[in-house]
Amino acid sequence: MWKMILRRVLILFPQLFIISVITFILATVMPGDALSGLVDPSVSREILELERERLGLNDPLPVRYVQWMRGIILEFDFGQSFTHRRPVTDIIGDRVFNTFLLSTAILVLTYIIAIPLGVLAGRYKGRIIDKIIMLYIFTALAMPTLVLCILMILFFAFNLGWFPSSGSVNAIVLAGGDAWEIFVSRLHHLVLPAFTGAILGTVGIVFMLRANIIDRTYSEYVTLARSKGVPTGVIFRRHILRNSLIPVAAGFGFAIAGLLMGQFFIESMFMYPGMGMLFVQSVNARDFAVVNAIIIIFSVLTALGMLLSDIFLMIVDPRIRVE
Amino acid sequence: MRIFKLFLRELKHDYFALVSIIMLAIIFLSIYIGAFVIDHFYDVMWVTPQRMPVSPEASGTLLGLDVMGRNQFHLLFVAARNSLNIALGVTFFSFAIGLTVGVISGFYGGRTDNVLMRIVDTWSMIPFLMVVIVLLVVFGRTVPTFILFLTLFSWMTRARLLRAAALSQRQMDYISASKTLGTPNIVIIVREMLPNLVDIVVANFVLTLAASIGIETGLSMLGFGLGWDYPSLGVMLQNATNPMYLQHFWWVWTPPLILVVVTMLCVNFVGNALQRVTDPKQRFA
Repeated sequence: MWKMILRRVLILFPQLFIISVITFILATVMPGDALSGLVDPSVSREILELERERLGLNDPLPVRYVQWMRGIILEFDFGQSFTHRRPVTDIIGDRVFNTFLLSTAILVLTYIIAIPLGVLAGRYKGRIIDKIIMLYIFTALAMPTLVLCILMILFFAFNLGWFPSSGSVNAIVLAGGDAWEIFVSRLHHLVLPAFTGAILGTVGIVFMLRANIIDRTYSEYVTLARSKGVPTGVIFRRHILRNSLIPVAAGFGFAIAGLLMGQFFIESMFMYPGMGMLFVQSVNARDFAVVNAIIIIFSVLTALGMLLSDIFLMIVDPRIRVE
Repeated sequence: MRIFKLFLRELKHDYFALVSIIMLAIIFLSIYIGAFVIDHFYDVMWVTPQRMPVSPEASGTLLGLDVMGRNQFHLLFVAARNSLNIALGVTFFSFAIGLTVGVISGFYGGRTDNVLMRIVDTWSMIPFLMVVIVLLVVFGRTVPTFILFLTLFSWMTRARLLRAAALSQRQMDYISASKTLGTPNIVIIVREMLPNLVDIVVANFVLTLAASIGIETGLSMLGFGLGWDYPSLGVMLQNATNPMYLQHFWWVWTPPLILVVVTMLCVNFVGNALQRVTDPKQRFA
């Protein structure tokens, strides 16, 4: 097993290399370079060209790629932001915590909602409860992310006024309140975006869990257990449910990847100051140093999430190890 | 084709799907016919006071006027047609790539499969929506670039799915029989294997179509889709991202919202019914 895990980890490096090359190409395609955030119009063209030469911006692409990678790996240096006039690393650092908080909340809520629903729908396939759950799933599936965000804001923030429609913490509380008040305010701002994300995230998991359970119900080992006289409840818990949950649990890494991808929709609708919103703002401001840094970070996180999923699956599911 | 016969039978048990397919037929037909007629005058602008949308009552039109004074009712048809065209384009091309890669990978197996699947894995690690946004901003937002970039980053799921299907077909007797007869591989793939994959392609094509409509709407709503001069459902829905519009000018964003949700709901029901037909274990009855 260790050999397989090691092999899987080793695959990661060429993958990361290819991703880095793609993002580098993307970065060179984007307008602007390391100097565009620093110079003002009074600097003459010749001096700018000399400076470019000195910084190595006119070097051939492979040389620049190596330089760029070394900066990222050794010094965490993503360059200089053009609009904020600060290093990109600092700007992203400000937002990491919010994104982390929101994604954790969404992930936890997603699984809390999805697993009972999936189990119920699969267990009582074709009954009224299954139909209700499937109707919920189809409605959630039919909602484009932003449409759901808008409806949530309209209903819970504007009409009912239960939750704030934007921000991550109340500015007045942040300035004057104690730690507890700040915590409550953060939580209060978190509810709406987290639930919106969770509703959208449940769809795939409920679908998968339901399909798995139904698949297992007709498998030969369940028929065998039934003919042996094992009580239905025990068959369901021990034979069907356990096997059905494996792929769901292994989908964790993919869930993280999907979450990161959709994050900027939710963050920019709820004005939640995380990396996703930073991404949208930076694209609108044509601040490509920040954009590129966020794409790199998200790709690496996705790669790690998938690695985690695969390793988890190898540990849990013995059939994969044999192969 | 077997799938359509089975699908008709499935419709008798699943009233949701039956209603959905009738509604979809009505929606698609009226959108394409309506847009064909309206295409010539949808961008006629009425003078609006204070550059504000005008309500249906005030303007005497069915759905009111938008901020530029265009008739919302006319705009809706053209927007829906454009959205559907983009979604159809993205779905079609991503299936074309996905089918090719998936079938080659699944049929040949071994080293070819390994290399192709590693490429697919790596390619799907890139956060595609973000890269698509950047590419659209850099290379301009037109319909062809929109379809091209979305296709480039969305064929991987299809490739995985069809590879799995092709892998299971490869182990069947009819393929080995063909091989022993000395049929060239390419002929086996096209003449023997593809007809057996049609079911899966059809079922997933419909589900992917719904997802593509959602992505187009999402990107356009964030302002990274098409511009004002090229109406789509997402562009119309962009109005709802403005809190003032959201609260006071409901007629600007409700019709496209209802149309998007109803269309996607129907497409999903039909797609799910089709998928159930291809996998008998998942049937309701």
